[in-house]
Amino acid sequence: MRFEEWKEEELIRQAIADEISAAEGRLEGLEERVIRAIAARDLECPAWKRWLRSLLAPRTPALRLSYALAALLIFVGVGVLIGRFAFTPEPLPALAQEGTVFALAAPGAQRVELVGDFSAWKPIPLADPDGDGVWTLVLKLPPGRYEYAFLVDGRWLGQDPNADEYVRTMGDYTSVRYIGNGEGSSS
Amino acid sequence: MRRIFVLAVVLLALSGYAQVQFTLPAVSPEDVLQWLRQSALPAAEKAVWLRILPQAFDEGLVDPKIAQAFFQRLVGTPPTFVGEITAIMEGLLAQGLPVTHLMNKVSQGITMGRPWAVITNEIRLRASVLAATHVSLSPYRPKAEARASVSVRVGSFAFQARTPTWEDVEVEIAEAISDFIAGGGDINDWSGMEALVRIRLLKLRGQRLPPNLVDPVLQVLTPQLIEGIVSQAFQIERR
Repeated sequence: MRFEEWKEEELIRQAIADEISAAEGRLEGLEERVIRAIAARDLECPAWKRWLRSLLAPRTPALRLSYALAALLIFVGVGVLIGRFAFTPEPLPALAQEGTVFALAAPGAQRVELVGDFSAWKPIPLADPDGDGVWTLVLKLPPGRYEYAFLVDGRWLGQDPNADEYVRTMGDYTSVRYIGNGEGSSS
Repeated sequence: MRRIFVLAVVLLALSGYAQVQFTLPAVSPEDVLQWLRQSALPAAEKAVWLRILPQAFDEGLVDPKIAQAFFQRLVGTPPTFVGEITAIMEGLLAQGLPVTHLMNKVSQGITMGRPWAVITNEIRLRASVLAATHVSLSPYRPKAEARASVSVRVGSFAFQARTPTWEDVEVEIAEAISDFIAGGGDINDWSGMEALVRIRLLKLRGQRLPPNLVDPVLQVLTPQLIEGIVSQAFQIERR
């Protein structure tokens, strides 16, 4: 290396060292200043933004034993009840004593109604409170033979899978149920 | 925690099933007549009904609740349709035959949105079969019959709990035959019709119809008896 080159590098090194030593004073307390600036900015931020930010901020999940037990109980309870009401071979034994169950699976329907000779063919609405697409209605009917059909969004549906038999009337099907003494008919 | 449990219980209770109660309003014969007087039915038919209904109510041939719904549906239908239906029912009532089930059948047809001619034809068919059944079964009619009518309430439903009569048996037989024919069954398949009638009577025996009325009919029920009813209903010459 020539002397001139060495001299030039030395000057550059010296200049960098001067720059760093001059900046040392400014770097002191930098973290504190940054935190203070962020806090000040947060205070200026609208409340809803702060709430949203806190909501989205990553956090360490805290498991509480009581909550976990409650969730487990609900999970088991729902499972047992669903199994009891929906999947047993003879569903709703308690309801059968109270009346005749009319049920229809019509997922996606906006309105399901029952019409029959017992109501002078006036529509009686069925309900689907849990939105699972199964519409139900319980009616108390005295012993006899009853003709009925469902109206699904106003469309005649005369073949109930749970009917005892079907008759063809005026070009379309109608379902029939026989209700006995002191017993309901469930579907 | 308690809120979560309450919410879970409420949701389960709602989703288990829905029991919707429906009540047909109790209607008296006078209510029907009053409604009829003010209705927009054609004047001629209105006069007919106002003349024949009081006695029909007295004899239990018309149920006021079903009649009310029937008349409400008739309003706004073509006058010719009203005229034909009225004439058919007037004829049956003149023979002392019940028409409640045919009123209900008209209401059904209108609910189904069937053409007027289809409804009229079916009512005419059922009326003919009922009249023929009445004549054919008259030799087997019990000598004395207890008649009683009382209004009872079962749950939210108000029902006219009538003591079942011989006419109720006739109606069931006639309706079974009519269902067979209206459903496309062969008019000459008397054995098929007899089987259908027998099954229906057996299912209703001891439930809606008392054994003392059903049993005598079951004993004489044969394909030949059905043949007689069908032949008379359709004016067919018997072999």
